[in-house]
Amino acid sequence: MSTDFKLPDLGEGIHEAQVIQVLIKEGDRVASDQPLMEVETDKAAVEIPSPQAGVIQKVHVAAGQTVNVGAALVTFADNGRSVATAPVAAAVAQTAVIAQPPPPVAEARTAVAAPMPPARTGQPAKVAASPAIRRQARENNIDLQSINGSGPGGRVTHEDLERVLAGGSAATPASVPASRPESGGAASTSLPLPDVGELPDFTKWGKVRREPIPQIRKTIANQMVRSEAVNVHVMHHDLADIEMLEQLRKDHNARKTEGDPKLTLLPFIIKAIFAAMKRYPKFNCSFDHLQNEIVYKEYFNFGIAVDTPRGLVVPVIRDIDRKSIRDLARELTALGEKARKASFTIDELRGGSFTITNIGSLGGIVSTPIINYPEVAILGLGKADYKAVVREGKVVARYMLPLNLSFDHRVIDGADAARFTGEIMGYLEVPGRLLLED
Amino acid sequence: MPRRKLKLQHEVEELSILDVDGQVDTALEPALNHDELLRIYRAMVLTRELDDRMLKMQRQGRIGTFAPCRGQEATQIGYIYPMQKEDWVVPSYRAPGAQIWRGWHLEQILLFWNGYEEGARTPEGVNDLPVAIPVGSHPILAAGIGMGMKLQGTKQVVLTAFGDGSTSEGDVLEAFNFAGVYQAPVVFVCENNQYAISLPRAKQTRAETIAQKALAFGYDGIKVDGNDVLAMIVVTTEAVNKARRGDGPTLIEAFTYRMQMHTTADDPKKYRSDEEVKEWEKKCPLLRFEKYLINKKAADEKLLQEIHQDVIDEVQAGLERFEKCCVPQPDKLFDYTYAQLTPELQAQKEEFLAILAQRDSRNRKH
Repeated sequence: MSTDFKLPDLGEGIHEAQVIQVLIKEGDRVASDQPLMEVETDKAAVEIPSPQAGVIQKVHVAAGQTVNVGAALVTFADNGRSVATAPVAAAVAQTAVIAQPPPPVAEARTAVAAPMPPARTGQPAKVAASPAIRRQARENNIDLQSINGSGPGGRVTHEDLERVLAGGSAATPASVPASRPESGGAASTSLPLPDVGELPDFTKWGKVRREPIPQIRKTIANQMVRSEAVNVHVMHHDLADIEMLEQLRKDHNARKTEGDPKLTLLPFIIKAIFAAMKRYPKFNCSFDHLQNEIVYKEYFNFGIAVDTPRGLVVPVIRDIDRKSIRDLARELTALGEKARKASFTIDELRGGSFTITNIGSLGGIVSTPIINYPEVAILGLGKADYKAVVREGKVVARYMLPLNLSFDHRVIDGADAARFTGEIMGYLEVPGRLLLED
Repeated sequence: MPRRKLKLQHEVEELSILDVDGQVDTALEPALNHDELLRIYRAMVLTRELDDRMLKMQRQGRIGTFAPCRGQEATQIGYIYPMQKEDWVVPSYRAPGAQIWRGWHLEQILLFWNGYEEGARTPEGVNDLPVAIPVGSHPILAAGIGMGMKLQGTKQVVLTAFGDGSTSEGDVLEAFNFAGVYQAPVVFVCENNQYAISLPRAKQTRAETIAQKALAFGYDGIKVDGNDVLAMIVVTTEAVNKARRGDGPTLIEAFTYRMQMHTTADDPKKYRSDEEVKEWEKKCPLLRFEKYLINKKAADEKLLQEIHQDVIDEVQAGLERFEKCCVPQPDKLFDYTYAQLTPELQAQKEEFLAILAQRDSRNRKH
C-alpha cells in the first residue's frame, strides 16, 4: 500500500506553508530523515525530513506553491516495489478528472519561471474558524470561504458548518467540486467572492440591453467587495449642532477679500477629524492580519469621495496636519475643478489614510458608507439643515449636521467610535476649540 | 548625618576547567574515575541524539512544538550530576537530558511534547516536579520546597534551572530573596543561553553578569563555562554541599549557547547571525569532552563510536515505545482537574463525546 506524507503543523497553529524548494523527485529512493523539501511558514523557513525510508512514487507539490496543513506532499510507493512503472498516462488521466490538480513536476518547473504570487501579498481575507471547524470542513470537502459565518466577525461556527452539512440553505453551500485538492493555494490568495452562480435569463420577462462594465466600475466594484469581505462594518450616527460654525463660515465669506477662498464646511470638518485623530490614532490605522500587527500611520492623508461624470473617485488631500483651513479650502476648490473633468492621476488617488464622503451635498440624512479598504474608518456627512431640537427645555431650530461614521470593528470598538465622533462634534459645535490645537 | 561610602566586599568568581581544545586545568580537575566520565559522556550524547531526532520528528508532524537544547548538554548533565536521589529538582523545559538522568523515561519526554498528560507524570521514586513551561514560574516553588526542607530539618537540597530571560521575572527575584532570607538549601542554575527567544542577553539586564544578582540577595553567585561539563560539576557540587551543610543558596550562571531555535515555531535567522552560531560551534561541549576522554585515555575512538551507536539504539527504542503508546483519547482532557467531575463538566464531557461519535459516524458515511 502506498502512503501519503502530509504537511504537518510546523509551528503552533499554522494553517499553510509555501514550498521553497523540492529536494527530491519522483522515483527517488530516500532514507529516513533525509530532507525532502524546504518550506516556509508564517513563522519560519524549515527543512522537512522524510518520515520513512522508501521510494517516492509521487510529488504533489512544487516550489512556489502554498500548501495547507494536512495536504499530501509526497506519496511513498509500496515498500520495495519499483515505481518505474508509475505510468505517465495515469497521471494525465488524473489531470483530466481533477478540476485543479496539483501541478505535475514538469509543469511545476515552468511554474517557477512564471513566479507565483508570494504568499503574503494579497487580499486573502481568510475566513475565521477554529482549527476543529477547519478540519471538519476539509474532511467534508467544504470550502469555508463559501459559508457566511454567523459568529463574531463572520467567524464560521460549528452550527454554520452543521447547517451546510445537513444541506441547509442559510449558508451558501460549497459549490466547489468535491475533487478540489486540499492544496488549494489559489483558494487562499484570491478574493473570497461568494459563488452565486449565473444570473437568470431576464429575457423571459422582457427586453434587456447588455453593456460591458467600464473599467472604473470594475475598480469600484472590486474595492467595495474587498471592503465588505474584509472590514467588519459598523455605523455610528450622531448629529452635530453647527450653528456657531455656520455663523463663523458665513461671516468669513461675507467679509472675504479678493483671493481669499470661499469657505465651505468641509475644511473645518477635516480639521476637526484630524484634531480628534490625534487623541484616537486608531482611526488612521490599518489592520495587518497577516503580520498580526496594527499599522499606525503617522501621516494624515484624507481621501475625499467625489462624484465625477465617470463614477466615484477618491482623490487624496495630503498632509492635512500641515495645512491651514484656508489651504484646505483652496485645495478642495481645485479638486472640484478636476472632478468635473475627471482628470486625476493615479498618484492623486493613492495613499489615503481616512476618507470623507459628503453625500449630504445631494441630500439625505443617514447613509452607511463603505470603508475604503485598507483604511479602517470613513465619515459620511448628511445634509446640514435646521432641525427642531430641545435647548434648555424649549424646542428651538438649530442648524444640525448628521455624521455617519463607518468603522472596522476588527480594530475599533463601538465605544471608540462614540468617543471619536463626540470629539469631532466638540470641535464642530465650538469651532473656537480648533484654535487651541497645536 | 554624613554621606559616606559603605564598603561592600563582593566579587563574582568565574570558572572554566576544560577549554575548547580539550585541555584541562589539572589543579581544578574533579576526581572522577573513567566509568563516571563515560557515564557523563553517554548522558550528553543521549541528550543530543534525542534532541536531533525530536527536531526531525517535529518536522514530520510526529510530535508537537518543542524547545531544542542542542549546545546545552554540558550545562544540564553538569548540574544534575551531583544531585542525590532524595534531593528535589524543579526543571524548566530545555533539559530532557537532566530529566532522563533523574529517572524519567525517554518516551515521557516525547509524550510531553505531544501533549499527553502522561509525559508530565513524575515516575515513582523520582523527586522532580513536572517541567514548567511558563518562563520563570517555577524557581519560587524551589524556594518554597527549600524553605520546607529547612523547617523539617532534612538534609535534602533542591535545584532549579531556568533561562536568562527568567531573571527579569518578578517571581524569580522573589525566589532569590526568600531563599536568601531563610537560608534555604536551594541551588539556582541560570542556563544563560544568550537569548530569551529573540531578545539578546545584552538587552535582558544592564548587569555585567547574571551571577552578580545573587550579591544583592546576600549570597554568592558564580559564573561558569556552561559548555564545560567538568566546571559545571565542580561548581554545582560545591553549591549542593554548601546547601546541605545549611549554608544557604547559591546562584550559578551557566554561560552557554542555544544552537537551535527557541522552539520549533521560531526562526533564529531573524535575530542572530550565522557567524555568531559558527563561533559557538567551536565551543561544542561534546567535542572538547571527547578530546579530554581520549587525552586521558578514558576512551578511544572505537569506544566513543560504540557509545554513540548504543545511544542511537536506545533513542530508537524509546521512539518506538512512544509511538506505540501514543493513542489520542480526546475525552482524557476532562480527567485531570478534579477527582470527581463537577455536574457542568460531566455535562460537557457527555456533549463532547456525543459530538465525537456523531463526527465518527459521518466520517464513516463519507
